Amino acid sequence: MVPRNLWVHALSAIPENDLKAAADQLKVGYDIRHRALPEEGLGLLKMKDGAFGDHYYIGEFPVASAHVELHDQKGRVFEGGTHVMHDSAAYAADLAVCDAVLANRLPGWETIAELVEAGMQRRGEEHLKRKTMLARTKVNFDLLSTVREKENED
Amino acid sequence: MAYVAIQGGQRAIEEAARLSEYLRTEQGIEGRPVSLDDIKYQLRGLHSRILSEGGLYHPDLAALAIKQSMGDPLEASFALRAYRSTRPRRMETAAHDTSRMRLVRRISAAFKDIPGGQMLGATPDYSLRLLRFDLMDESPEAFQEIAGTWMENLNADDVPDTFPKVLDLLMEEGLLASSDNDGSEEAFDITRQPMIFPVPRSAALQSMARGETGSLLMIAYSNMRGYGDVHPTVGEVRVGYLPVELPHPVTGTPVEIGEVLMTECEVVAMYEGGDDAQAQPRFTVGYGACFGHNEVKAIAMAILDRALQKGMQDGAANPSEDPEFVLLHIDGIDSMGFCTHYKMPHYVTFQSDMDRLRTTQSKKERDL
Repeated sequence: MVPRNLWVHALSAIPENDLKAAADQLKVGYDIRHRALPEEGLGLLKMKDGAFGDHYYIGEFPVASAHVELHDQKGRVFEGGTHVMHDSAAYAADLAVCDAVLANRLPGWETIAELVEAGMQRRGEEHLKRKTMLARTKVNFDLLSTVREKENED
Repeated sequence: MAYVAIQGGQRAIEEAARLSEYLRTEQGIEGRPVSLDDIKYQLRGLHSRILSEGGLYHPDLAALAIKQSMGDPLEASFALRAYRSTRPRRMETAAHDTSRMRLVRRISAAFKDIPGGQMLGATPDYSLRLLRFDLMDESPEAFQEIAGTWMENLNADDVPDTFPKVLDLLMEEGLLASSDNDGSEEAFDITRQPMIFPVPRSAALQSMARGETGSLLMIAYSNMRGYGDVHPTVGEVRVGYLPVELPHPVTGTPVEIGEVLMTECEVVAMYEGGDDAQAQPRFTVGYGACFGHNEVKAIAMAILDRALQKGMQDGAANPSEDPEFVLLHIDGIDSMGFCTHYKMPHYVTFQSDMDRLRTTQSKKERDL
């Protein structure tokens, strides 16, 4: 099972319509209440500089947030929440519902688990592509040494 | 400065906007609207500039800004900056370091052998910069085949997930002052506080991170050519995707909410210190970083960071060491706005200038 701190990373790789469809199905049978109003806006990215460790702001990014409670008919309450780099609070609310369902193994959690796995696979493919960029362009200084040694021998 | 209200200009202004739209679509039935993905993928250099100079990591809107401005980087950055000013700021992250960046390029000019190796990634550094006439009439099939061929047999078994920083090697050898900064000092935010000099280094780094590439380069270049003495060696340039984390609303643990493409550079500069018997001389360092893939900007920023440190310590000996001169003249939106405002009607002020000149001339004639 993919750990919870990677669920947003995985689910944000899934087409938004697929996620919305899954979240809409999961909402049935629950009273969804917002612990805090879903928000959208900007986040400020703070960095630590690589020379002296000073903190500074490199810029901003879009962020949407939601924190929900799912109340079932037996009066039980299940919490879910998310921040995501996105413009839409509604999208964050859908992710928060998925988070609550998966974290609490509520009916339908398998669907979300499958989406998480699919998302991780997509992320893995992207990761492999990037690492291949490095692998294929890695400089082999050994070859330079060999050539020089050969030149010296000659 | 005085302006006059323009009567009768509204229609001309509306027609000027329509004309701009016409020029954007002038190809007519032969043309097709450029897509945001076309811009993101095929105009990467320009797109990266807008991400950093606009101060907002929003790849879709940066592409939109480029599209609506028809490729004018200053206008595009202005539009993105204007958009960000309309959005509420909800939160800020904890400080991120770049040790977990998912790299796509990493080089050092200081050492041949660096732990993890040097990877060129995508770069024009070793190309001849000759025009590629084969691209003049590129077919969609040929275009698609290149990507398809590259994607065959992806393999990166020997590539680690993360790479150590090159500067750490120098620190271990005692050639560089180790950082004892606990990060407790609040970072200055130039978007919320006016810069009243002297400003902390964090203000300088933020100003330069969203500064205009050409402006940073010009002042850094003056230092390189002799109006300064940083004499940098690039310790490391890394380009990659930094995971951005925020605490989970329920558990409070850090969660990856997305990633940003960024470029980071550390330059090693002239050594100093050792004047007193106790202290060893050590290399000095400069740091640069920005959104997107923009190595010129990151290197220029690192050189200016070092120059500004020297200026703060010893007093500015040249323009690149003067924080006020550098930081107040590198913002593309500010400088472009000031420059282009001169196009706007100055009828009253110029009338006044003419009146004064005529008076002066008359006075001179009388005196003669």
